[in-house]
Amino acid sequence: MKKRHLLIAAALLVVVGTFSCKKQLNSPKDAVTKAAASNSARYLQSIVLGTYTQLQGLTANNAMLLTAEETTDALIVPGRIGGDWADGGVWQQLWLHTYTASHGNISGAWDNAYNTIGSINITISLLQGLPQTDGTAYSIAELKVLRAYFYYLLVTNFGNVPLLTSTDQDASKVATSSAADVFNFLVTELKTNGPVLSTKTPTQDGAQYGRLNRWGAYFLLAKLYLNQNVITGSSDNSGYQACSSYCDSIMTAGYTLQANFLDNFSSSNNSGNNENIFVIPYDHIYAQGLQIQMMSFHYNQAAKYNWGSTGGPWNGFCANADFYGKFSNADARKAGWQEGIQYASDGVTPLTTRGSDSSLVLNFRPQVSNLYTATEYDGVRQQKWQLTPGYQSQDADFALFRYSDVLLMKAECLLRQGDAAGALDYTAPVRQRAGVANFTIAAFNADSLLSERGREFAWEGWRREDLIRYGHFGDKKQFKAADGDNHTKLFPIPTEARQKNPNLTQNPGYN
Amino acid sequence: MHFKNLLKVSCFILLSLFSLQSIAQTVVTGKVTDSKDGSGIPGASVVAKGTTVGTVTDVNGSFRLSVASSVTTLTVSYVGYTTKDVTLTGAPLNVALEPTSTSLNEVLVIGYGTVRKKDATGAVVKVNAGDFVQGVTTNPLQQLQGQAPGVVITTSSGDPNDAPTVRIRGTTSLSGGNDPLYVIDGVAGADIRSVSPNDIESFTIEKDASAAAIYGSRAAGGVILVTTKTGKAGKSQVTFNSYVASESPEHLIKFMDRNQYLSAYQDFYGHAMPTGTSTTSDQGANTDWFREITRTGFTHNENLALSGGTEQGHYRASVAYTDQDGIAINSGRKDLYGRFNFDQKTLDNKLLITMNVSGSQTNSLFTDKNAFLNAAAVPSVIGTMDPVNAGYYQYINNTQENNPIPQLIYLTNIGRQDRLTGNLRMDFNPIKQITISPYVNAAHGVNVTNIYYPPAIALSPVGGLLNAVGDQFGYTPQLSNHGDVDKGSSDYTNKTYGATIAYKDEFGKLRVSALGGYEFNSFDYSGFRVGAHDFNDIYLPDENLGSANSISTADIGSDRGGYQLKSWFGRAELNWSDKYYLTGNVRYDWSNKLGLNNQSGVFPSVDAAWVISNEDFMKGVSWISSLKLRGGYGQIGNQDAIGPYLSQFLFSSGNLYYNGALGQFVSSSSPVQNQNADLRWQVNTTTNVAVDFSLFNSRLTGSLDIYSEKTKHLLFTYTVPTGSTFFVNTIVANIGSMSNKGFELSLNYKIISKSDFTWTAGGNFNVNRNKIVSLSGQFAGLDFNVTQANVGSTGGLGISGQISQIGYLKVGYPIGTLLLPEYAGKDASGNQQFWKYNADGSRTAVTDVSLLNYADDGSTQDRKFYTTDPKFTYGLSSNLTYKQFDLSIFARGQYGSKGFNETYMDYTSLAKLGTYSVLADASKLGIKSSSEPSNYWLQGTSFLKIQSVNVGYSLKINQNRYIDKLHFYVGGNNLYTFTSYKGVDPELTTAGGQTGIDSRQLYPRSRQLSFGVNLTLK
Repeated sequence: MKKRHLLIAAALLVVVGTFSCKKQLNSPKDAVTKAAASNSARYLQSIVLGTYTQLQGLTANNAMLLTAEETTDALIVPGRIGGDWADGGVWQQLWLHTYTASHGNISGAWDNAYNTIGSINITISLLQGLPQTDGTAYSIAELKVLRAYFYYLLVTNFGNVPLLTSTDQDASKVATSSAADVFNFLVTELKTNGPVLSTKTPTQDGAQYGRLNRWGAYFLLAKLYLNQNVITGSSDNSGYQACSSYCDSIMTAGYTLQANFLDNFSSSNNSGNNENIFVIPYDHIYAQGLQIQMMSFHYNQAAKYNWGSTGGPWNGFCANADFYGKFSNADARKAGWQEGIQYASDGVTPLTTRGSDSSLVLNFRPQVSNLYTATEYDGVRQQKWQLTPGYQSQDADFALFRYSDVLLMKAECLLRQGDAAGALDYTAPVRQRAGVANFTIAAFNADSLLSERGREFAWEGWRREDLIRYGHFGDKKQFKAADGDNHTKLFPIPTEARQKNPNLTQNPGYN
Repeated sequence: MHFKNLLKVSCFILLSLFSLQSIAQTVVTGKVTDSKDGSGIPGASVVAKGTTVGTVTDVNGSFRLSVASSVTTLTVSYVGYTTKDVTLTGAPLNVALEPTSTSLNEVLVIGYGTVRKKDATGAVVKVNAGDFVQGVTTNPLQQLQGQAPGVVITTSSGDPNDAPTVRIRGTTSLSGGNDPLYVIDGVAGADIRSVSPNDIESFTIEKDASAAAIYGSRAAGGVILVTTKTGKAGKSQVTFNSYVASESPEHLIKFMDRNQYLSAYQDFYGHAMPTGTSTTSDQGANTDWFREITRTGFTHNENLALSGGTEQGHYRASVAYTDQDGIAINSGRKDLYGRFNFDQKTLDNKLLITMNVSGSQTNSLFTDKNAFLNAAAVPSVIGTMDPVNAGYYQYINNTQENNPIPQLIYLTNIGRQDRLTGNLRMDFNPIKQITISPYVNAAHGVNVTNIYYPPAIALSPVGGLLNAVGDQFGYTPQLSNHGDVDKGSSDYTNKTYGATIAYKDEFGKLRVSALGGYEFNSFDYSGFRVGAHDFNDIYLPDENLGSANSISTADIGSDRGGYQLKSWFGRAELNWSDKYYLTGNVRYDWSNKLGLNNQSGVFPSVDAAWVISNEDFMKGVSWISSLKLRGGYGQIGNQDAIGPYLSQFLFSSGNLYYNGALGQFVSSSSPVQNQNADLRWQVNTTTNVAVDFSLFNSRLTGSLDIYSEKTKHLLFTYTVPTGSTFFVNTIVANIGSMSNKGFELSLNYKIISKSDFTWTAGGNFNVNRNKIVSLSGQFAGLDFNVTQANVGSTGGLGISGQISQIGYLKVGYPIGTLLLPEYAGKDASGNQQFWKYNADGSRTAVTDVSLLNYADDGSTQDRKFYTTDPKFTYGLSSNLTYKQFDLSIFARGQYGSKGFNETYMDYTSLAKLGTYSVLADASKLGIKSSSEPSNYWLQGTSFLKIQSVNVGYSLKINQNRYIDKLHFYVGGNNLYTFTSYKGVDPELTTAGGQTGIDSRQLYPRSRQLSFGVNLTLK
C-alpha cells in the first residue's frame, strides 16, 4: 500500500519534472532582446542614437582621428625624461612612420570603426523589419550615411578594407575590397541616401544638431571626390570638378563662418553655431570622451584648472617648432596654443616643472629637444577646445565637418584646376576670420593652401589625408628622414583583424 | 616436594589470594573529558577491564565505581570517541578521550547524505573544528587554510573586506566559476560569509568529480560542505569564546628615507635636490608613507552559544560578533551573526524535523587600494601636510599618485550586507530501510553601498585631494569639485525545494543503499544605483541625493534578473563485506541560463574501493591497521561561469547622446552582447586513484591521491570580427580545453600519545600541473585559431599599451604565464638592455625597447614566455598537549613559483629621483634608464609562512557546579614568512586566468597577535 503510494508520487514527480525542463530562454527583465527591440519603432530610434554615441570614442588618444594626426607634422608625442610616454615607443613610432601591424592604436582605430559599422548594420536590419514608413526610410538613409563616414575613415587610413554592409555576411570570411571599390560604393551610397535627409542646418532645426543631414552627406562626397586620385589611383580632374559642385551645393544651405575662430571649439558651441556641419556632442558629465586637455597639459597645471581630483593632466601631446612656426603672431588661431610661462590660478605665481628640474619655471617652448627624452616643457600645448576646469572631460563639442573646410576644399579644387584667382575668393573669408591678410596671387600655391589647412584644422583629424593628397606625407621632418617608400600612406591591416579574418589582404610593405 | 604437590599448593594459594582479593573492593573516582576542549563527557561507559563491572558517567562526566582490588585497568568508551584503557593509580582519574574524528568510524557528510569514512570511495577530506587554523580567523575559510591537501586558500590581501580565493586542485576555468560550491547544513549555493567561524563543526571537501557529481553542474570548482555545531544529548552547556588581537603589517618594502633619497639624488644629478614647497622639491620632510597610512589595528571577537538536548531532540543557539580593524587607516569590518539549530524526533521517532535559521549583518569600511600605490610613489622628502596652507593635507599633483592620506580619511566608502537563511528538512522513516526527506530552504541578502566624496573646497584651498574610485558595482564616478554621492543597493533571493528518497538494507554480506531526488532552485536578484554630483559645498556624508545640482541618467541604473535550475539526481552504493565498494552518482541538470541548444546536461560518476586490510590474507599483518585502495571517474559542470542571459543577443542602455530638439542629452541603446545558442556548461572530467592507510596501530595515518582532471568545452571570451554577424567584438564560447594533473599526500603521525602528553605532527604535500591544452576550434561556423591571449597587464610610468601586456594564456603552458623581454644587463651608463633577436638567431643588446618586436604570436624571440606556477605546495602542523598546556603550530608554503615584482620594476629607476619615490635597493641596482618590464623582475616566490602558533592553558578546575572548562591562549597568525622574494608578500593571488603579477596596489596581509579565552559552563 505504502509502496504503491510512493511509486505514484515518484512517477508524478518524474512527469512534472520532465515537462518543466523543456527548452526555454531565460527572459531578461532589464535588457532588451532582439525580438522585443524589433517590435518597437521608438526603441529602434533609441538604437539609432546608440550608433551615434560610438562617435564619442573617436577622439580618444588611441582612436582613429588622433592616431592619424600623430603620423603628421602637427602632433608629436615625445617620451619625457623619466620615462613618461615611453610606452614601448608606440607614440614615437607613429611620428617616425615605423608602425607595424601589431600597433595597438591602429588596431583600436580599426575595431572602433567596425564595431560601429556592425551596430549600424544590425540597426538597419531591424528597421527593415518594421512596417516601412517615411520615418524608417529616413532612419535607414541616415544610418547609411553615418556608416559611409566610418568607411570614409577606413578607406582614407587603411585603403583596402572589407565592405560589410549586412548582417548576413560573414565578417570572418569577407575578403578585402580595393580602395577604388570602396570609393565607388561610398559614392553610390551617399548619392542615394544623402538626398533623403533633411536640408535643415542645426540652426534652422535644432534636431539636426549632432546628426548627419543632407549637407553632411554632401560634405563626405566632396571629401571623397577631393581625395579621388589618392584613393582610386586616378589622375584626372574629375574628382575636383565633382568636389567643387558638392561644395557649391553645401554653400547654398545657409552655413556661415563663425565670426570668432575659437567659437567653434567653445564649451557652448552647441548653441548658435552656424559653421559646424556635423559634430560629436560632448559634455563633462553627460557625454564624456573629449580629453585633449588631459593629454596635452602639464602635470602641474592641475591645480590651476582644478583637475587635481581627475588624476592629471598627463603632459603628452604637443606641437613642435616647425608646425607652430606656421602660425603668425597676428593669426587668431595661434590662441589655440599655449606657449610660454604658465601661472597658478592667481595668475601671478609661476608654475614650476617637476623632477630634476623642479626649480625651473614651467615655460612651454615650441622646441622639442629629443623624441624620447624631451623635457617637461618641450612643445606647445593644445587649448583650442575650451578647457573645462574641474573635469577630465571637456564640454566643447568636437566638430567633424566644418563650413570653413567647404570653403578651403572649394579653393583647392579651383587651384588644382588652374584657377588660382578664383581659389583666393574662398580662402579670403577663412584668412580674414583668422585676422590675417589673404594670400597674394603671386605667393599662392599648393603649399600655402596645405599650410592654411594645417592652421585651420590642426588636430581635427584631416592632416594625414591632406599631407598625402599634397604629396608631403613622407617628407623629412624633425627626428625623421624622408620615408623610403610610399607604403606608410596606408596603415597596416591590424594583425588581430587578419587573425579573425584570414581573407584580409595586408597592405603592401607590411607583414 | 613432588612437582604435582607443589602445583596443588600453588593453585590453592593462588585461588585463596584471588578469592581474598575478590572480596576486597576499591572505589575508583574520576572524570571523563573530551581531549579537545576538556569538557566533561556524560554517559560514557567505564568498565573494569575483563569484567562486566561498570558504570556510566554523570552529566558532568564524573564517575564513581567500585571494583575488585585486583582490577588494574579500566576501559572507558563513548560513541564518537576512541576507547581508552586506563591504569588505576589510586588517585582520582582524569580520562581524556580522543574524539574519533580522525579515525575511520567518522561520519562524512556528503551530498544529500552521510557515509562512514571507512566506506568513502571518493576524494573526500574532512577537517574538524579541532584541526582548524587557530587564532584570528574572521572568515570561515581562514580556518581551513592549508589544512586540506589540494585545497589552496589565498587571502587576496590584508583588507578584511576581501574574500579569499579558493582553488581545489587548481584552476579549472578561465571564466570564473572556479569557486567551490558551498553547502551549509545541506543548503547548496550558500554564502560562506553567512556563517560565523565559531559555529562550524567541520568542513567536508569533495575534491573530485566522483564525490561531487551529485551536485552536477554546480560542482566543477569542488564542493565544500559545512556542518554547523548542534547540541549533544544530555549535555546542556553554555560556551563563551572571545579573543582580542592586534593587527600590523607583516612586512613592508623599504623605500629610501630622507637621507638615502637626498644622497641618491646628489649622486644621480650631481647637485643637491632643490629645496622648496613644491611637491617635487625637498620639503625637508622624512615621511615614511607606509607608516602614515597604516596602523596597528584592533580586532575582537565574542561568541556565545547555548546548546543541549535529549535523545529526541537537540538545540543550539549562538550569537557572534567580530570587529576587525584593517591595517590601513579608516578601514575595517564588523560582522554580527545569529544562528539557531533545532532538531526533534516525533511520531515514535519515525520523523526527524530539522530547522536552521541564521542571520548576519556585515558593515564594511572599504579602502581605496590605490593608497598603497600612492604611498609607494611619493618620495620621503615630501611632507603629508601642505607647507603653504597650514592645517591642510598636501595636494600632490604628479601624474601617477596623490597624497594617500586624505584619500583614506575623507572618502566615505561604506557597505552593509544583510543575510537571512532558513532551512527546513524532514526525514521520515516509514519503514527502517526507507527515508523520505522533503526539504525547503531560502536565503535572502541585501547589499547596500554608499560612497561620498566631500566638496573639494571643504578639504583644502588647493582642492584635488580625492581621486575617484570604483564602487562595488564597478562604476567609477567622474568627480565634481562640489561633492559627489554614489548610492546603491542590491538584493537576492535564493530558493530551493526538493525531496530525496533513500533506501538502505543489508543482504548477508552485501550492504545496499540508494538515493534518488528532485530539486528546484531559483536565484533572483535586483539592484539599484544612483550617482549624483555637485552639492552645495556642505560636508555631509549622508547627503540627500535630491539636493544634487547634477544627476545624469548615465549615473542611474537598475537591474533585475534571475535563473532556474531543475535537477534529478541519484546515488547507489554497494558494499560487500566491508571489502569491496562500488558507488555511482548521477545528476541531470536543466538550466535556463544556457543556449537553447544545450540547456541540459547529465553528470555521472562511478567509483570503487577495495579495503585490502579486511582481506583474510592481511590478518597476520599487524602493522597495517587499515589499507584501502580507491578510484573514481566522473564529470561535473560549471554553472557559475555563465551569467543568466549570456546566450542571448541583447540591447541595453548605453551612453547619452544629444537631442537637439530637446536641447539635452538623452539615453540611447546599443547592442551589448552577441547571441550564442550553443552556449553550454564547461565539463570537468576527473579520474582519481588513491590509497588510504593507517599503520602501526593507527599511529601513522594518511592518504595519497593521484588525479587527472580535464576541462572541456572551456569557456573563453573570444574576440570576433565585428561588422556583420557579430555586433559586439567579443563572444563567450565553449571551444578549448585545459588540464590539471597532480597528486596529494597527507600524513599524520601520533608521536606521543599518553594521557597527559600528546604530540601529533601532520603534513600535506601537493603537486598540481595546470596546462591550457587548446583554445582553438570551431564555433558558429567560424574557425578560431588562438594560440595565446593577453589577459594581464603591468603598469607604471611610461608603461602602457603593448609593453604593459605581459600576462598571457598560452596553449601548452600553465595559467600564470608571462611574456617578457629578456634582460641583457646594464650598459656602462647604467641603462637597462634587452636582447633583440635577429632573423639568423643572433642577438644584440639594445637599450631602446621600441626596437623590440612585441608580436606575441611566436614570430619573434624578443619576448619569451615564462611560467610562474609553483612546483609544489605544502602544509605542516604540530599539535602538542602536556598536562594543562597545549601548543599548536601550523606552517604552509610553496616552492618553485615566481612572481613579476611590479614595485621593483617601477621604483628602482634612478631617473625617477626628484619626482617619485625609489626603493632603498635602487642605489645598489644602479638602473639609470626608465622602468621597463623584463624577465629581470621575475623573482622567486617560494615561501614558508608561519601561519599560526597558539599556546594555551586549561585551568585545572576542581569539581564544581558551574564551570566545565576554562582555557586561555595566546597566539599569532601570519607571524613570519621565510622567503627570498623582495616584494611585500610572495603569495600572489589569482584572478580568473591571470596570476604571477604582483601589483603595486597590494594591501599587505597583516600579522595578528591574539589573546583568547574559551569558557564552558555547565
